Amino acid sequence: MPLRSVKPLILAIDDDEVARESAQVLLSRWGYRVNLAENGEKGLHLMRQNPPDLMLVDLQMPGISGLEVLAGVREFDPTIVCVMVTGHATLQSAVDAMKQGAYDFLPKPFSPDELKHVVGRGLERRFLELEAKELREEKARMEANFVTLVSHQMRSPLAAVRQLLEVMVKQSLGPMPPAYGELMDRAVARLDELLHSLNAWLAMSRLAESGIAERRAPTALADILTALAQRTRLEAQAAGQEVVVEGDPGEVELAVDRETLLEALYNLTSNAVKYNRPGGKVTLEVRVHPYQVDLSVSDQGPGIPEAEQPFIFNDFFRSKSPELKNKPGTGLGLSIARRVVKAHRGDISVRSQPGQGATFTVSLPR
Amino acid sequence: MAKVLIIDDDADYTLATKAILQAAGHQVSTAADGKQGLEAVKAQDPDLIILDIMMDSIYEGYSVTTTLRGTPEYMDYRDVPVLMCSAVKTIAGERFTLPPEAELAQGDDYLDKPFTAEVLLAKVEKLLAG
Repeated sequence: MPLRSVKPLILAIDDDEVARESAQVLLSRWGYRVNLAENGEKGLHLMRQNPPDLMLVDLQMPGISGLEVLAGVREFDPTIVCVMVTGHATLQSAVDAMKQGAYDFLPKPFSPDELKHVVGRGLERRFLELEAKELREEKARMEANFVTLVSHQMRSPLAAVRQLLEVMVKQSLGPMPPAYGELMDRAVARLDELLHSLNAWLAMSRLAESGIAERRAPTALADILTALAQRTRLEAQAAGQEVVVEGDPGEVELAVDRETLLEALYNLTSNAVKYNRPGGKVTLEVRVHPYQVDLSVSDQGPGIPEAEQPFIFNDFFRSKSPELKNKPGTGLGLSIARRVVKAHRGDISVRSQPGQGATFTVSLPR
Repeated sequence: MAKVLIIDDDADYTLATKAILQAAGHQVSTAADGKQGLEAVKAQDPDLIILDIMMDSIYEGYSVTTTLRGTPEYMDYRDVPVLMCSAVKTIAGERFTLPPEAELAQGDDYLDKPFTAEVLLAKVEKLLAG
């Protein structure tokens, strides 16, 4: 454990100068680092500045009492071990201190051996607690990232299987009986669907942790539009559709996380292609306003039922409409897009009338 | 026909990529990590290198390109085109962060895993022609 590699730090609080000096001498002789304070207030201040592993606290001091110091320590960090030093063996106050979370007490006068023993045991306790705390935190992290971990673990082997299937589908190693061809194509389609879902889940959990704000950098609007149009054309051509770009991005620059924003916009354009009517048109339109930029993506598909429009940006929402529900999808594309746009302090909205396609508009601040 | 070197620690990808390239008439050699890969560059003198980014260490692929492009020992090979690939970059919000001085490490083109035969062959042909 890394904490053990530095010398443990002990803070001794005592109003008696002689007691402080002897603590200093003994503790540093045993290899500990030592801080001293002559009253509770200074002690707590020093504790916050430089948190110790263990504290020796005189119970009876002028000003803040030892018990109050103890309460302050417990509040600041309960893993700091407190040993109470009691002047004239007042058993009752020692018991009170133990009840309030002190680890042990040392009645004055004590021998160096007694001090050494109590401090040694106390530090052991401190390191066990730190270790336990670290394990608890690790467990919490694992739980929080469960989806990410599982998706990652599943994704690599599945992606490798997909790659191997590619060799068979393309018959790179020699011809395959034609009857297998259709089975192979179906296997590939299902696998692609699954990989797509895994990617979407991963994107979701990444977005929850991600630092879009920190990655924002000046990016030309024209560059975003070009990249978006290029990728949309590839998809549209494969589906026998046309892409039209309207509006002039001019010289406008936006502070965006380019890659993540593009992924979000691809979700919109690939939806447009997916839900478009056969041979339909996908329109990308850019409008530059004084304080914002609107980017919209329109298709000529069946449109989105009005009743469903308020819900389409929710996680895992899938349309119930007969024309839409049979298309493959994860129900995450739009919700990912919304998260990304929100992280850019922008907004996303939809306009659609049944039978007349849908238009998604992303507004980003300039 | 060209000589292609695949550097990838995942035997399944190596197998699949090799099959696709051989079917297209290329001569393929393979290496399973960055160190073997750099040795293979000298031994095979390839026309093109296909290089996985994440091998034993996260950026092992990048250190291979940095060595290829930046050390006198590999002077003769610094113009060999490099096609980088990875299974990680496809996910929104997940990316490699490279220090600015790492421009050398980028390679000449990039390919997401898994890839179709068409996309792989198109990139390979383009790099070989380029």
